[in-house]
Amino acid sequence: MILHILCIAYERPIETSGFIASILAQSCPDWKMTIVHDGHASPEFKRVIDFYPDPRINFIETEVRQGNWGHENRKVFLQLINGQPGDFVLITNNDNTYLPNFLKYMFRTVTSKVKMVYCDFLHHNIEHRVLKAFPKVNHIDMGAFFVEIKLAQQIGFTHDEPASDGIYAEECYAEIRKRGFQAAYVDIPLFCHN
Amino acid sequence: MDKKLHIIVLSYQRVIPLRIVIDCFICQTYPHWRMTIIHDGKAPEELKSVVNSYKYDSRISFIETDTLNGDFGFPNRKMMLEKADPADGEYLLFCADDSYYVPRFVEYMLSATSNDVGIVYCDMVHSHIGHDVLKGELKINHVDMGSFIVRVDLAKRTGFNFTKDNVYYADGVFAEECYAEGQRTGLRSEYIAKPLFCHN
Repeated sequence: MILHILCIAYERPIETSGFIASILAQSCPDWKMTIVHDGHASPEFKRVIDFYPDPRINFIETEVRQGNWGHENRKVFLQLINGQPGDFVLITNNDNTYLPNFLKYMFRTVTSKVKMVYCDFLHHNIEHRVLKAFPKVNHIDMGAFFVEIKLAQQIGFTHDEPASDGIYAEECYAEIRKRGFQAAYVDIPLFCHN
Repeated sequence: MDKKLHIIVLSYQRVIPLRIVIDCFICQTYPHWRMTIIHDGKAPEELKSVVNSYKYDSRISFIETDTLNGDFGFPNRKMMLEKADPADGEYLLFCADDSYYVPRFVEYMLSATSNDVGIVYCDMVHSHIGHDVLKGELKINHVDMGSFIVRVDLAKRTGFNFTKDNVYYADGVFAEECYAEGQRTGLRSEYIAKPLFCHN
């Protein structure tokens, strides 16, 4: 079981460094990361990427800047992830930080029936208090849940409004329940949305 | 004049976590801080290379001790406390090299200070309780060294009194003693009921 982390980035090299370091510091090593920079990255940004020569990290720059909160890149690159059945995908941003046991705690809830896992998080929109998570608009952030990759690709990332995170989470949750599967909840804040 | 926080980071050979703690301070919304990283013993080249990559930021400085002092970094904390100069920051924060702070930590903590505030402390996400939220209190088992700031003069008067017997909870002892000394000298403590710090 591998977690594929799809990180949509636009500049912010120091935040990106903190984000990558928080993934490298995970107690569970079973992840791969694709960082997609929206348009050509600055030299400062590339220096950060070069600082982490980990074979699990793949860096891509798009030819043109798509904007729109990165939703177009999420839509396109989600479909390009080459995952195996049973792998999961986490779509996240380059200014997020994960606690070192994020992956360990999330993975240990996974059974053959569980196709989505979500957790509580510290959210800057509520002054970094804990947001108790639920897969619906205004109660979840993209970085706080992952979904089995094949299912995520079937659902697709199809929206382009600001609340697309929550809509995508709602759609994944509804589809999982429709198919008789489950979503697991970890009620501790394992992720900081900055 | 803007208030300033002096952050003392105790480091020992953990390269990636050290980057996290440096990056999260560079990302702070409030820029008036200074960081001294003290490595226990001679640092490996890889760690020095990480620190050198931040040389563009003059707020960050790096020290290595001549010998390994051990004891969870407490001898180095004691030494740094004795050297602390209010010119580097009126308040002190001691933190470990694997801590994480939210981007408004310094802003929130210094905003709570005033002439009669000796200590500001906050809630935290703590690894010892499965990364759940620990409500901060200034007493053993309810506080971590990284979850409170203390005014330099108060910290110096209190001293860092660790012994072989209390080394496992010296954080809490220091917090309790600072609190007691603050009470004795008319300094208040302020509490921020938000988890602004993650102990990893």
